[in-house]
Amino acid sequence: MSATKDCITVTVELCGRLADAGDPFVSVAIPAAGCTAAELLACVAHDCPALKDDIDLGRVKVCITDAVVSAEARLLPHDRIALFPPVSGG
Amino acid sequence: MSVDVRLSLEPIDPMQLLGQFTRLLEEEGAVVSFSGHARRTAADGTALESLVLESHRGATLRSMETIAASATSRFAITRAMVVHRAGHIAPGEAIVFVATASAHRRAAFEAADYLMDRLKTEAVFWKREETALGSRWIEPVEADHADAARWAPPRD
Repeated sequence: MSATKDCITVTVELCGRLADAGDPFVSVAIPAAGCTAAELLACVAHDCPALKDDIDLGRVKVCITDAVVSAEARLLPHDRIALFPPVSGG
Repeated sequence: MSVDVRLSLEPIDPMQLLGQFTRLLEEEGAVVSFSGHARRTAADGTALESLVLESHRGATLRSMETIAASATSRFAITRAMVVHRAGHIAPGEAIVFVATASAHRRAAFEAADYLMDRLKTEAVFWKREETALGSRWIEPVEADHADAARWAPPRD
C-alpha cells in the first residue's frame, strides 16, 4: 500500500474470470481514511473499466483475508483484498 | 467427531483416501463415499484437454470447512472427509472425494449427498474447461442450484 495526502493505493487480487482482461493484481486508489467494501468496488469500477459492468450488476464480491465481507465492511490498512466473481463450485 | 478437510494441488487417489478414512473407524457401522472425476468431453462436446479449478488461498479451504461443519451439525455422522483438487486436472482424474461415517447408513448417505450439493454450488472455486478451441469458464447449472436448494430450510 502506498499513500499520498488524500488517498492510499491498495493492491487488489482479481480472481477467476475477473483476471481475464489483464494482470491478476490491480492497484486501486481509495480514500486515505479507508473505505467500505462498497466504496472499494466503486473505486475499482472507476479505475478498471473492464470490471465496471460486473460490479454494477452486483456480480463481484469483496474478500478480505479469507472471508467474503458485506458491502458495509471496512477495509483496514494491510488487509489482503481480493475480488470474487460468482463461484463455480467444486 | 472427526472432520478432515483438505485442498490439494496434486492428484488425489480416491481409493487411497477411502483406505485412510476406513482405517480410523471405531463404532461406525456405515461408510458412504463419493468421488467426482473430470469428464473427457467439455460442455460443448469437444474433447477436454484440461479442467482448471482456480482457488483462493484461505477462502477456498475456509468455504470447504464451513460446508463440512454444517454437515456434521446437521446429520448424525461421526466422521467426514472432504478432499478437493485445485489447479489443472486431466480428463479422468479425480476432482473431489467425500466420505462420511455414521452408526447407521441413512445419516452417512444424506450427509455425503448434502456435502456434494453444497460443494458444487458454494465452494470457492472458479472452473474453466480448456479444449483445442480455447478456454471457457463454467458456472453452476440450474440443476446444481436445484440440488442444493433441496437442503434449504422450509419456508413459513
